[in-house]
Amino acid sequence: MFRSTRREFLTTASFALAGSVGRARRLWAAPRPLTPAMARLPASALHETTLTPEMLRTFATHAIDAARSAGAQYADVRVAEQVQLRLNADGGMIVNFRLTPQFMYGIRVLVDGAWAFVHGVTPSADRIVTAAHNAVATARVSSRVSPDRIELMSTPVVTGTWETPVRLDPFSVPLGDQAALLTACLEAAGQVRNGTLDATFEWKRETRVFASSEGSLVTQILRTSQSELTPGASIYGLSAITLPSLLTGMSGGYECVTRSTLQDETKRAAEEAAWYMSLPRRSLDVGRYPVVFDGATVGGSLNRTIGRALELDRVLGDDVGAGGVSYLAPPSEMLGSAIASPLLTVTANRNMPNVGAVKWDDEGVQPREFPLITQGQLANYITSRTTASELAALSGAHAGAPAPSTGCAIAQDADDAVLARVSHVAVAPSAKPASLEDLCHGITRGLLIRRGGYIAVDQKFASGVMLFAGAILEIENGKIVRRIQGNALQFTTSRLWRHSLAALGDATTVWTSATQYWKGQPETLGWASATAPAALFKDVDVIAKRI
Amino acid sequence: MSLPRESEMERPVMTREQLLSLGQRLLAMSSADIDIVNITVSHTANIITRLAHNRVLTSDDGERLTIQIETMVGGPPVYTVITNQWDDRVLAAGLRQCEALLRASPSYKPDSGMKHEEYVQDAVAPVQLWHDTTIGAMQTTRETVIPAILDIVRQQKLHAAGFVGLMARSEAVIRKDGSILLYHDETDSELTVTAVSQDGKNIGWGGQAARDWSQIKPAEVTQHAMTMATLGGTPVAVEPGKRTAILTPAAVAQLLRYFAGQWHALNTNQGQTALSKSRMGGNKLRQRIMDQRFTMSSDPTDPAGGYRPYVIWEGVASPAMTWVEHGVLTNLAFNMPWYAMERGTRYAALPNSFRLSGGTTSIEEMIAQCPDGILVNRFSDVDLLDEHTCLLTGVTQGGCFLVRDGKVSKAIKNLRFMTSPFFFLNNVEALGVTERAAFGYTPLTQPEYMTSDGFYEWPRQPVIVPPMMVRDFNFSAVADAV
Repeated sequence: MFRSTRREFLTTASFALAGSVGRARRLWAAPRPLTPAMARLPASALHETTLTPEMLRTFATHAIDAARSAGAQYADVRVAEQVQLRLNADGGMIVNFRLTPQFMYGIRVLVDGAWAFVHGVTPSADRIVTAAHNAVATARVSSRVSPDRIELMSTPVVTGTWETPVRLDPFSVPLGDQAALLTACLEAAGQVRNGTLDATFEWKRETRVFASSEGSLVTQILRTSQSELTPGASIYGLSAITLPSLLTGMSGGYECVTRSTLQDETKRAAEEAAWYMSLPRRSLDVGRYPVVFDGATVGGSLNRTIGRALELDRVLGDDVGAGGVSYLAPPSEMLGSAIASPLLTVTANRNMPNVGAVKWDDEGVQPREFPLITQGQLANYITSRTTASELAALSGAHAGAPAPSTGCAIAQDADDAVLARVSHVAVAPSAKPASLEDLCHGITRGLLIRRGGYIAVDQKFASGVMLFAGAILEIENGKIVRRIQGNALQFTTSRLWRHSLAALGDATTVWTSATQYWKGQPETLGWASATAPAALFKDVDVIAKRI
Repeated sequence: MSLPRESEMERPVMTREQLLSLGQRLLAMSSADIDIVNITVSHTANIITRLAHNRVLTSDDGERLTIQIETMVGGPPVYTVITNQWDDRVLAAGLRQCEALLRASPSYKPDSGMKHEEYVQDAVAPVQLWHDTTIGAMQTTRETVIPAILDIVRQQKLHAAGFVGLMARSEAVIRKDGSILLYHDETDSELTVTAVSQDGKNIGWGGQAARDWSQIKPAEVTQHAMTMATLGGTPVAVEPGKRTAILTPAAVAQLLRYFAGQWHALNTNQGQTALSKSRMGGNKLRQRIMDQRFTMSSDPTDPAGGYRPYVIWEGVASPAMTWVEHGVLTNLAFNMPWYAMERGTRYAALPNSFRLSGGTTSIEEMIAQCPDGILVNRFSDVDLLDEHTCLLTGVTQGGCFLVRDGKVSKAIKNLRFMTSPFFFLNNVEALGVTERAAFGYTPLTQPEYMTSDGFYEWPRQPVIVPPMMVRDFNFSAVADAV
């Protein structure tokens, strides 16, 4: 429940964020000016690390030893210490500031073919050993009613340390400098009449240790920026237009927010939003129209539909009582079949600088870049060690069957259940020149969606309704002429990606966006990011937002 | 240092005394010139089992702890530390850090202008939401209930999935004099069963939720799920359109879970909800907004629908409220202390938990009275399309049936709907007996997150609603073939 400190939505939809600042105000400090003394303080001066990586490793090995001695055939553990810093500023003042140090662990054991998972927050060897014993006892009880065995796909034993490469540690940057940068961006947007900017810096540093009973023991120091800079335009203080965030969730340090063009980009985007804001409004007649998605919308929509439908635990029915199943089942029939337009080639990875970049996933597997969709044909699923073994058995007849775990086992926090999750997908842009304007060029009447991708789907991800977008614009004879209110898009997933996708934009239209989504039961949030070009879809159903 | 336990088997979360002791320990660590305004501690333990493929998929047991320390140098709090670390060194470090920051801060004028004592404006109602039966079930469900569920479903040659969740929580707000300002403990539980036919074409869902596990009837839940999975043969597609709909309490709860945001007084008065007079502002107080048979209220002392009697981070009491009386809007939720003060009204938490009055007609009687309609067992993936009208979309799930001439005629493929509660609650044909609805898998959507009042994760707060038969429910498309 009270986990907003590490459970907040940081998505591409700022209509939510704007409110979250207000709602969460009491969680943060009250507004206060930045004095010279305070301005010189870096966040690291305010946080003292009390648990060393060696201590975390000791906890981890205690847990594994305890689980094995209690009878677990397999056990793994994630132990982490993390600190998050979030701040907003205005006029050189920090208006919200929150520092959240936390410790957590999660132990997973396999006994006689049954899993159990126990998590906790107490950095004590005794408690962690007790938790491991409890997990084994629980799994033993479960095994009595779970006749089928679970096979884990084999993976090499790994040891070592890895740290997210950063050029500048944000926790070492004086708060005054951070407030000044945020303020400069706010002022850039403020130069534009009706311009707005949702601006937040958020940093996370986590030391996470993974250990398994197979002998793996790795330590990763993961650093991410979950900062956001969402330009828009509004009148009467109500946000009406928002464009894709100029910053997005990514791995790295303070360099994630310091590109020299940021203020110019902010101003230009605010100008663009203000121009959209000035356009006349209307509702479009219900019908089928050509629709152009910007890169953020393509990425968000792909992750929300196909991406999640390719999570193999869902495909195999593990989630049938919760988040649902998948229209891309069974794997034996779907692998190698056309699920999208030949224009669409999608790869998945956990590389830098994506927000989910790691050297080892939460099962100790080294992720690799792999094709998900190759020229429209399904090439692979999002897998973990547990699900990959089932996939290997199911898809044995398929020529060139996918290799074992793709390294997508993710526990967003160390005390979350390990699930197969989309981390980052990359859509190959068109090799031929195709700007956003080019994609709109041939449209007699249609729509341009900016910052869309918030989609309500069904239990199979087979259909959906795009509920909101930062801006829905009407295209007439290739030009933006109005903004649209009162309409939404409705689609079947396979038709949208297989039949409606008519053209992709080139590299100039590519945008990286990140969002969080729920999975599991109880639900846990996890990041999913995408790099995608703009795209033209023909014959998309435009519906009215009315009964 | 480990989290203290009175007895791990008997009480998985801290007692009032242990919470108070933690607060006093923190106070002792703080510097003399720094005031501690609030120490808020929340300790939650979950025992969870997930089922799928006729077996236990996994368990998920553990605890979560949040310690929030608010400090000040005279006046309202200016710095907050939030941590889950209990260790003396961590807590002392946290205190030192915020004290250092405080000393670097000049005096300031807080935005609310309220002192902390003013926040607690009502006596906090005593509630009894802790049930030892739920604590006891944490030790027994895996040995007894889960095998029984799996056996029954296997015997019917169906596949079982499900969720058995048990929760205990204690929390306290401790003030600077070292006494407990607010204390609350509660238990909760939920059981859901999903039965899947061999060919995977029929899925039935059943669920119950209760503070007291002994009120949950696993056999009933399992039987309902199996009935929903086997009734009416292989699902066929029917034409969407405006149809009479018979909605179970679980279906109704999914549609009304956006009510909390609708009652938000500031948003409403700014023209942003369906209870706004217009998009320019104002509200519909004293206007009829739903069928006159409905009264809607929230009461933290309600034995079945009760909830924490205060908003924890705000430290403000949540009084019992009547939101709708005989269909007329009687109150909005002034859930922001400064706004309540500005408008000269009392604070009220958003109706994340509420009771909607019902009637006496059973679902079987509704079916018998229905010449042509659709029985909906549950909705899933419900989301807000338009906050100004509370227009929702989502899909049927876990059992959807065509009703003809007073009988269930056949199972039908899932349908997408598009409607507003303020539309269908004005088209009521029949109402049944209210009950607490189980939500099952229902992650927070973005609009809900904004109004969740600190309830971010399972279990959701109790919602007590009746089954109902409504006319002209707008089924807008076949879900998997739009």
